Amino acid sequence: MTNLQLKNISKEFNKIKVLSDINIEVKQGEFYSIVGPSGCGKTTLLRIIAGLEFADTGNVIIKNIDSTELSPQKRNVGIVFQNYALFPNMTVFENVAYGLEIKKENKNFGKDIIKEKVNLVLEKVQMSHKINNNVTTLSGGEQQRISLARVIVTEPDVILFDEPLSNLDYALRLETRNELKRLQREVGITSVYVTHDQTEALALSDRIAVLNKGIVQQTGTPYEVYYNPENSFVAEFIGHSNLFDAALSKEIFNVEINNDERLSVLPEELIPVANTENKIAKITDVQFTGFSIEYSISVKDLLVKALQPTHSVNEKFNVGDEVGLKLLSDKIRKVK
Amino acid sequence: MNRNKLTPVNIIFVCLILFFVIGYILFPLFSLLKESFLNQEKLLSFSSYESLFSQTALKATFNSILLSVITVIGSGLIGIYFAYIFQYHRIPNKSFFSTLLLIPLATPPLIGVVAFLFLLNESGLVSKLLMMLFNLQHALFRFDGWTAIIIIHIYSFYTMYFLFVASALKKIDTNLIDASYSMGATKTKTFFKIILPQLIPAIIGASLITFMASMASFTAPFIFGGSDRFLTTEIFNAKINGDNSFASSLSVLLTIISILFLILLRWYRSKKVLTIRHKSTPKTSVAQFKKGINYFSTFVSAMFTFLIMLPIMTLLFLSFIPEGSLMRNFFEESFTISNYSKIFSDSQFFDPFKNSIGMAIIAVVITLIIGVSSSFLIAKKNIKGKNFLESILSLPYGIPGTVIALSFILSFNTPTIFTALTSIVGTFWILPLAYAVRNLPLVTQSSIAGFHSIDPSLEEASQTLGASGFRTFKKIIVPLIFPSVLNGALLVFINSVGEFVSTILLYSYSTKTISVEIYSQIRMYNTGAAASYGIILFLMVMVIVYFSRKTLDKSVGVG
Repeated sequence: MTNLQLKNISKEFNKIKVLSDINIEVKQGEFYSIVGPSGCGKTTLLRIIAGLEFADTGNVIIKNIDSTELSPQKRNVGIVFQNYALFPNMTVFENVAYGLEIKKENKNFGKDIIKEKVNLVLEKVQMSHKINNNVTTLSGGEQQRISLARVIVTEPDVILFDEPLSNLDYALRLETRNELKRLQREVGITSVYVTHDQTEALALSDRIAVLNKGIVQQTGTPYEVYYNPENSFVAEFIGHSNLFDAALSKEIFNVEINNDERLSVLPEELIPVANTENKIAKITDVQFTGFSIEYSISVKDLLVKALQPTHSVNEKFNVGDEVGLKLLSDKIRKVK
Repeated sequence: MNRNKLTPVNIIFVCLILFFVIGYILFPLFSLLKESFLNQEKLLSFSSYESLFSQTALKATFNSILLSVITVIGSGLIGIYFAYIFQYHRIPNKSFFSTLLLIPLATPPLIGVVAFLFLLNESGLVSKLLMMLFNLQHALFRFDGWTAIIIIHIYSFYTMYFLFVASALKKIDTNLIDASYSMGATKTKTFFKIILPQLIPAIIGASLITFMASMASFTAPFIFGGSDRFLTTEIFNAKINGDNSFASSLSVLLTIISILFLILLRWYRSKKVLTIRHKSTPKTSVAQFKKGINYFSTFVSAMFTFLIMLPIMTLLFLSFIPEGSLMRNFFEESFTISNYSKIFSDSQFFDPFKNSIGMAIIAVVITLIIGVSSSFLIAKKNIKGKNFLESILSLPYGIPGTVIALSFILSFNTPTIFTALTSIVGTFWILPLAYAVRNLPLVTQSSIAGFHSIDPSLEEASQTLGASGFRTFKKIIVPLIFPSVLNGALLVFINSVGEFVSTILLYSYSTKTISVEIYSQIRMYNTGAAASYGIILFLMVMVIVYFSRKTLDKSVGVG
């Protein structure tokens, strides 16, 4: 069942097109990511879904209700902001209860129900012990959890995440990412997640839309987008793929492709080899990360990356070594 | 919140703001300008501007500028020195000392002047002490003229540099200093090459403000100036002598100088200062200084703090000895609280007290209504001409109190629509209105900053949680701007309750204020009443500062 539908959304700021003809459908309970480099229009799209901006053309349909013209108050949509946007003049409890108190006026439920609901959601995010703290005393990760609790508790139709992990340090980011996934699965609320970090999008999402310059480049499951990029942007942005033009791919790999196409090779599928006649490439840098070894290799005027799991390496190269290149699989990926 | 739509309530406030701005800021300035182009027969003439080139006017202008330059240099050296040693040297009880060092900032100018008068005057405490010790018939020194004015100016204004430079020093990345030391630079070289360049913006900011305030300073030149002429006192004298057009042209000159500095200040603040920001910089104290230097700095700080406290201690002492003892040997007098009880029992003394409090409260209410509503419109709504409105609202900051008083007299001595079709010169109302105009920039600037400091995503979060515009305003915006508004309001109260500069031109017998009463008491050599008034005023200000700092400390800062 479709929960959120964006139809032909376009938006301009000062005559600069930031979104053109966006069509996205998000299913009930799905975790959907919109990923793209900064300035690609993803945050604007998120704000249009929330009603904080209005599209120039197109429709926003939430739970079968055309919400294009509705104010943010009238849509049942929650946002987890990049900077958390907790109300600094309120305690943890008051922040989480804020949305419920507004609902109380319509739905007529009492103070004890609010208390119960707040307690329950704080337990879910493991923050019950800080219920009476002032939010300004919380760490970044804790603020993040409260910000999420504040949204979950109002049971919105859609939760929007605006790069919620970008203000956390690396270790905390991984931990919070897992936590977020667990919560989303548990609560089952439809989520739209905006990020520029493709690893985050791959790890969290059921489906992904790749956005560049205000245009949807590709939609699909993380697996599809990673292994079957539809164009060179997606190949490079999502998989950090190496791209070879027709002449090079003929010369290096003996693979024939059309002149307007390029051969897309993921770093882990590119293997440097020593025992070959065709020593066309040269190692320019070697980085050992523990799990893998990453080679920077120059081929003609091109700089490519090859990534090899450490345990599968039988030949180790040093900077300056002359090598040949081969493909790991027979699967040929062509992009335009 | 819809930025483009004005609600009916908004429109009412727009009208109110326009009424105030036109009636009490622009119209008086216009009247002043008009008056400066009229001669005695009320005909168009440039004679008053020709008088600006007379010997006395030129001398007064020169003196005012010279005084301001000396004040800037003197206060700058002292303020920067203390900010530096308080940041880098080991001084025990630092925060205690630095609080005491900021006392002049909160002391109403007249109180400072009176305190110095009682301390260093011919018949003041020090002079009497010396005469007693050495059994002299005459005072050893006279405390007046340039020396007196400069000492009082430095006493009042070094705090600007102390505050500005201290906060700039705290922001300096200590790694930079460590880096400089580790590359072999001496402490002196590090100070001049690394630290000082980063202080330049703070020093320039403090200098512009000090220069402006010093040009506009009236109380010290008025009481100690004697035969030395300054622009502010010349305006006062011209007005008292009935030469309104000369007073006006002098005022125009002084205002133009001040406004130029105000524009310079605003332009300077609008420039972004280039800094490299890192997520976190260690705030540990850098390379240790030798013990001797630390002892020396502690000694200097203690001595200076003592000197800063001395005038107020003098006031306190004199407030507890009987009236008229200034002429006698007052070290032998017994203590009494009669000076204080007199203020609260004798209506001659209590009425000014009531007046000052009442006028200050009215000024606070007016500035709150106009200041907060206009900053809301400026910060949160897209209205045409809001930059212009903001400039006009900060204009009074650049107009000396003497000039505001004069322009009020010239504007409101005839009935106007702004004064309910009556003349308010000589009435109660002209005083709180003048205080409100003088202090309006304090409230507008602090509330605009308050509104801007609210993260827009807080409002959006509230909206998406279903809150109406009104609810967001009540629950989120009001609590968050409250501390800045309160702070502005308390400053207005402090400035108004002891205001002297415009009061001395605007009061009448029935609307005497504390400051005017203190002035008339010292002219009659009544030390007791003047000193106890001074102490009451001082305590009132200190209590307010203490509580406002407490509420500000408790107030929320987004984490």
